Amino acid sequence: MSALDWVVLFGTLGAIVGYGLWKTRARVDMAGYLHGGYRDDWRTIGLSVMATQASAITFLSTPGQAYEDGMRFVQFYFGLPLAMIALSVAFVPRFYRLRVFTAYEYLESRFDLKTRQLAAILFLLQRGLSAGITIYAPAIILSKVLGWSLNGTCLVIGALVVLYTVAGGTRAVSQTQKQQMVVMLGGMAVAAVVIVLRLPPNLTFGRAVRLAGVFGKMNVVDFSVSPGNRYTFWSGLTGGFFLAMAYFGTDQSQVQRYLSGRSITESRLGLLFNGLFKVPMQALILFVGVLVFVFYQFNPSPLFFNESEVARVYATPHAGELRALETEHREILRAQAHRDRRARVVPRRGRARRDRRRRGARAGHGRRGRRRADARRPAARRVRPARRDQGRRLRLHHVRRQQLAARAHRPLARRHPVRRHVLDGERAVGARPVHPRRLLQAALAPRPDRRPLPARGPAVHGGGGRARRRVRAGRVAARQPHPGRQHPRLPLLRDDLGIFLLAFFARRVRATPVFVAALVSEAVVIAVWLGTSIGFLWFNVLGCAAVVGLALALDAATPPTSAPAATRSAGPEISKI
Amino acid sequence: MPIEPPEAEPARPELGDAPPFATWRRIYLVVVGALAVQVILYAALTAAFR
Repeated sequence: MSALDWVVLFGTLGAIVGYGLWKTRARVDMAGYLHGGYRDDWRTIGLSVMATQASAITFLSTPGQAYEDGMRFVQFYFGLPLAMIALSVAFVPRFYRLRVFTAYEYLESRFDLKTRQLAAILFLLQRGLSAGITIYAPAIILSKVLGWSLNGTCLVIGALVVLYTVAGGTRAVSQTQKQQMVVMLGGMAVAAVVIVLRLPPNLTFGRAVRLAGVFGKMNVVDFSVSPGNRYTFWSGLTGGFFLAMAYFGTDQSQVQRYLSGRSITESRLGLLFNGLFKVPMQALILFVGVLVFVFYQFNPSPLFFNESEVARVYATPHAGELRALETEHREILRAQAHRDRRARVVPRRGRARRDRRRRGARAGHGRRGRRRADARRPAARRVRPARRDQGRRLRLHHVRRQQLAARAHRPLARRHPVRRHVLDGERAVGARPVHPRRLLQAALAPRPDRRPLPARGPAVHGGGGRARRRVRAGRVAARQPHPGRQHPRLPLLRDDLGIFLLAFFARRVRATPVFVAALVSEAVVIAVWLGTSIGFLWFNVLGCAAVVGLALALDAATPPTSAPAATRSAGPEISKI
Repeated sequence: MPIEPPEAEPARPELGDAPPFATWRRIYLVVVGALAVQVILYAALTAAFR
């Protein structure tokens, strides 16, 4: 890092923390701490709401998502603008008029304490998991840049965030997030410009986009109706709407942002600002990932992108194994480049239909080559020095325990028991040094519950030579979930929206049916998540509908007993709204 | 004995709800319209670069 880099890094961190601390001067009481004295205007609210949702994760992983999967992730946000309108109409005025500090406070006055606690626990559970990942992802990069340990970096980042948020309250958070948003968006724009400038001189911007389209990266909208397809227009519009309603309407991290507005008008405008600019912002971030993909079509991509990790492995006795994998990776890329040159993947203008057919065939070649190259990356990820034994062992990541258990007859599995979790939720396996190909075979094996494996070793590979095995490995890799991207998302916080809708609009429904319905619905959603393969966005619709439907049914089926005073007393206040 | 007037509820400026420009309905239409335009644009991009 140059001196300027250090100045920018620590200047930004220092300014943000200093600003947060400076804001504590104005804090006088709990209301000021939680609402910031109702002083934020719509610009601050809008940027703060966007920054709360778009953490460092967004700016780190969204381009990666586009690199792997194309632009279709943008459909995830199609329901968001509609949700912003619904929240502006239905939620914001209610929260203001009830003068609540938190969204869950209202649930206690409307229902009872246990319902408030259930919603708050769901929120805290999800927010805690999210905060851990949000700190961890940038800490990975920062630890490499600074040469610090990962744990130490996480602690430092966490401590800084806690310092200025606890000291400064919601106003400090809103103000600093506004600045963070500007910094992050500016960085993203600079990254896009740098990538475009580094593309080959004879590759125009239009041709670069066309090349991305050849590889299926410009798949922005998909109108197909398939519940198993994770990102479609319909799942984004419907599931995304319910998800955004739940997130922006019931998640305290967001509710607090717009409840700090100067007035209902400012809060509404802040939300609508988010609704207007969120989708194009995400599209642009995804497009940066597409440009990175194009960039690596003309520049050799490394086997493993984290150079410092690679350097650490080279300092261990396993450097030879990694070197062999890298050599193999380079050979595949070279062969692919040779094929691409022959096929002239970049199409010329015109000849639309005929060229499109040819491009499809060429893209097939390109995609197969890329899959084969990508098939080496999981193995490289595993060739890392273990922490405890000073890099004397290899550590296998992303290999499930079941995969090795299914291969228990093989020497590899017998030698490498399960040892610890890795962060992405997979099981990691500590392994003795083995041939990289064996690691690759173990890593690429499909999960036994999805695709039964043959009983004996030779049959696993199906015979054939080395080239055939490579192709099969590539095909299997293409079917495997991508680490960190396609892991099933935990269906938490699908109930909160239903609880709030009942609180707002079902004035006679009692607390206990709502509480029971919320618990049952969460179980239903988890069961559906475990038992089916429908896209996770649909869980939002299912969870909300299940809570509302079950609560109304239970309320109608059970005779009213002695209703809590709080439940009834909240009625007239609600009816004023 | 003079009757004291009931205490007036403190003013709550945060309840102000008037858009600074146009009407809420028009602002909502702008947001929905922007989404519709983007969906059409993205669909066209998808078709053009398939």
